[in-house]
Amino acid sequence: MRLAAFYVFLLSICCLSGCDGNRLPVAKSEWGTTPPIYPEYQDATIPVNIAPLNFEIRDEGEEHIVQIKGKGEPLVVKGRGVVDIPLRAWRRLLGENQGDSLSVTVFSRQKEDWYRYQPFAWTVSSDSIDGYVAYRLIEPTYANWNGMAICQRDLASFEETEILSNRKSGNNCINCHTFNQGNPDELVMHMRKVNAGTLLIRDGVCQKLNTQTPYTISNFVYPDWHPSGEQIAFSTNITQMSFYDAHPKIIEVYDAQSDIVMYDIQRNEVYTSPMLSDPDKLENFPFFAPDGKRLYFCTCDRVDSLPQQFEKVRYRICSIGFDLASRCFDERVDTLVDLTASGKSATLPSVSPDGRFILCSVAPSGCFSSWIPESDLYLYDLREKTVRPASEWNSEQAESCTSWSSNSRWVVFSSRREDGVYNRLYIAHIDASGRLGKPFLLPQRDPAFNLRDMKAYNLPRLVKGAVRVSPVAIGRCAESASEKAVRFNEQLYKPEIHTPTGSVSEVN
Amino acid sequence: MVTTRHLNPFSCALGLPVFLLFTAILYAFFYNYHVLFVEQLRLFEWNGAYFNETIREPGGLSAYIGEFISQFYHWNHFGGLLIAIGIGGVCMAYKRLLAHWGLPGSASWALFPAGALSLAFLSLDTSFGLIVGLLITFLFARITIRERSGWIRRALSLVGLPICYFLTGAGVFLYLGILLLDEAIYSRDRRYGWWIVYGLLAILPPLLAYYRYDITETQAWIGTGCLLTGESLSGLYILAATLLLPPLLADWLKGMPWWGKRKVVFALDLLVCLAAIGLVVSHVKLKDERLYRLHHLTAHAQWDQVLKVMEGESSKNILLSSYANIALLNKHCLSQKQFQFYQTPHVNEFWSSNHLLNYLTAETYYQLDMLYAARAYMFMANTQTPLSRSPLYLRRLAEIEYRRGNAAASLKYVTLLESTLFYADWARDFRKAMNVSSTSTDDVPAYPENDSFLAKEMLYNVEQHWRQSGGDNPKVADFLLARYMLNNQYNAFIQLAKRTNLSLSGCEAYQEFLLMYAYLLKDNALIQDWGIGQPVLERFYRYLRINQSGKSDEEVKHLLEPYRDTYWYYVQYNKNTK
Repeated sequence: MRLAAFYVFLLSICCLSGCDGNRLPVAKSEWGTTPPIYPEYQDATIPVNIAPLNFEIRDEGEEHIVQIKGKGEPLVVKGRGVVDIPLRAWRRLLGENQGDSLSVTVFSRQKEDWYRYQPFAWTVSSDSIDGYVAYRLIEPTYANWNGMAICQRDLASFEETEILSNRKSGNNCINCHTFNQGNPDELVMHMRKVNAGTLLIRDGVCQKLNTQTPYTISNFVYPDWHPSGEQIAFSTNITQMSFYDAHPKIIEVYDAQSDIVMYDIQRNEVYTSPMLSDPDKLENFPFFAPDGKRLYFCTCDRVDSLPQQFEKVRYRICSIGFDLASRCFDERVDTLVDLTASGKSATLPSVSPDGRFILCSVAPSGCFSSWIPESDLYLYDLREKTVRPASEWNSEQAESCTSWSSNSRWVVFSSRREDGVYNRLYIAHIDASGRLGKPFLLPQRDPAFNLRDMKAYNLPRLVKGAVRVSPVAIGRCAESASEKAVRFNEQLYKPEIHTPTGSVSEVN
Repeated sequence: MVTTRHLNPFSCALGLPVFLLFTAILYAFFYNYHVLFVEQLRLFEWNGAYFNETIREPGGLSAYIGEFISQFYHWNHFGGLLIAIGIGGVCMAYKRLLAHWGLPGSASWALFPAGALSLAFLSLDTSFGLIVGLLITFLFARITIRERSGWIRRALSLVGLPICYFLTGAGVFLYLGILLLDEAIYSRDRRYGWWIVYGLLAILPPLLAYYRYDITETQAWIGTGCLLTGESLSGLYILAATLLLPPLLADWLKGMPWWGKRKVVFALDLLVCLAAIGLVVSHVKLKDERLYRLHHLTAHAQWDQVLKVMEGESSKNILLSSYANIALLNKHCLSQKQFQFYQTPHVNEFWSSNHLLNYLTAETYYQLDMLYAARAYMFMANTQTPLSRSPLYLRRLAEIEYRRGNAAASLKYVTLLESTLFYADWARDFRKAMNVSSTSTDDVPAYPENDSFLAKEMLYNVEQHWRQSGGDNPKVADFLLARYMLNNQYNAFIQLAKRTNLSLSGCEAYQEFLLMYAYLLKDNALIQDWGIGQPVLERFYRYLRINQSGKSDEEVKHLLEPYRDTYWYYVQYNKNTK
């Protein structure tokens, strides 16, 4: 009997504690502003399958309670400055509020009194985002590196795993990781300096390619897969770097020459077209239309006196027809985005999987816009044939490198807006008509993570799943001495290779 | 069980305490700058995120505790005491292990790992986590081998091996070795089947860890706590041998009739102690110690001390000279006194992937107020440190970014330093100063920019900086004069001298330089115009006579040794060395 009474008492205590846990404090007054939080997640539109948007409250409060309310049971989180939202409860809440809004109310205790901020909203989109985002982590340094890795992050949680770290491939430079339409089983990436070559990963098998040929000016550089998965377009570039003496831009990266080639995986052949390897032009950043029938790329007139005449390097986005069966390109190049007359260069393009939009990075000149503070994202509507700045996404610092989700509703891009030095990833919604939602910072378990992290996030790529080939297997392939040399198919078109400037690529 | 009564003949073994005292003195007073430099290669953060990141990898707990203790190297000389105490702790644990096995002479045998550890710590790569790992391993071993019951001991081993790997990394192999030795020597319970199981439990976790974690193959085997970069493995091999071989040896010697005699014990103990001391001393690199001392003094802006350390330095070491040059620059006498030290044409400007060289270049540019240049090199220096986080470099980066007008980037480094023990105060004061300054836009002057590009070697344009800053920065003028002298740019030197109303009298270096110019032009009138003094003239004639004496090159060089501090000697012997 006494034991039973004890258990009832214990249960009551537990219930009372549970009740207390979700009870909101009585606020002495309401402040007329939304709370100062970091990251600035107020009014963001978020995918239904995103990890919790943990944030810090930057006020003098000694204790905080946050209520996230929508349909169903509200979620209440307590903390001291840091709001750590439980994953399971978060997923339930988002699931119940798909297509609706969540209201976030923050209470702050200062001395003995509670105060309430004005609530802000999170719109839970009914559009989901691809499961993973891949990116390279590297110090944003000048001409050297230490540890770097291509990683993949599960967007529904905080788990980040390695695709390949350069600790497993000889401490070299690994870059340009690109997937075929977000398929994690089809991936290509390059390695520079030590164990140089291109890694091609398909269906669980990793192969190392030697991409030098007598008819290409360099190893393969920027890739894009043909949607069929049978061919990959690569740029070939003689890239130079010049550092400024005293300028916020720090560095200019430019091509003395560049062309575009196609790599036929099955035949192990490289070929090109005179429209893509004009010695007087710089063709770069190839990317295929989702149906594979057109190749988009950036091009500009070659400038000889670089870096002094760097401001003349202005790219436009063009397209050319492509037939997979005959491996032929059209003889006509169409210009889609030409901002050169207004003194701008459009580069780093990406096309939405539904073929409606092209996003690109626009800067006063050049092609490596990541380091140019004025670099902004622009949106080109392929249907309406209009281009406009993606003002909702731009900031005072550089925005560049976009990637689309497979449903064309989400974009991940890199931005240096935090401090002008370290690239961070932002996720933003775009609806079918091109209306842009507020971008939000990739959520981290510890909201202050980005403040202490010394790595920059390069080249985000939304991926539908995790890469299944182990980093060790990729690393062994990378370090392997045996590599497959690609062949150039001279029958289709044999370009003239000349080095008018005698330039040697500093990168490729 | 062996008691102290049985070990009585060995109570005269004083070698271990003597050796530990030697270690303490060595690292506290003769190698303390190495230890201080090691502290600069890591950043221990007092926050949960750092804890989680560190302990999740193999050997993480050892690494975390080791890094925690390494912080206290910050106090000069104290690091030596910590290292000696740590080594002493390992030796005590080892002694108890040997005593458990009834092996006499444990104090003497403990000298072997003591010597190996002391030797290992001479390398910058060795972390204090190695000691922590050893202590944890001995704890595991002790718990296991004291268990008499067979099945409990097996269970402890099966569970302990993977846990020991996860907590210590390479300690699992020592644990395995102790288990095997225990069964081979002490309990004579040789079940080879279980040995195979133990072996698999020791090997499988590292194999799996390499797949699971973003670590190198070496780190998968030894964990992240022992070594900073995992490059110097020989020390670990030696340590393993000194831990695992002595029990075998002791067991063998136990049967010898002369073993246990007091005189023999005393003599052997003394011999091993002296041998260990001799071995460690023979590997001490005093030149490197001098380098790290200069690094420490430079980081603390103790310019007079730097120059005092460099007095009489005759080696051709451009690193050492670079520190001296920075000190001379701060005392506004670089161009006057640079030839007292070894020089090369590019003063303090290195294009390298070595973090120390990048730091020297960065610091030079910083002293010249060339903030973009300083930022570039300091960023590269920080990136190139083993863990890409050096408190010294981060502190400088915070200052540079703030002065450059990028408060947000500065705050990032300040935030990192605020989470440390010894740099938090500086960081908080700096943040306060930033907040105060941000209220007035006049406080931080706009840093001059330009559109010029650098040459490929990323050497910044000091002359342009001089012009842009109005031509009134005395340090920059001094630097340029020094560089003109090093590169035989006579006209540039003369123009700058005129511009800055440079006084040539009283500075022999300037007179030597201009005298050479007059000699090359064969214009004696210049000697009077420039007021070159008689002592300099006479010295120059003596210098010429030796050169023209017809002796062999080696003899001439030997005879010119007294002229090492002259411009002429630099031109003749040092200018073209690489």
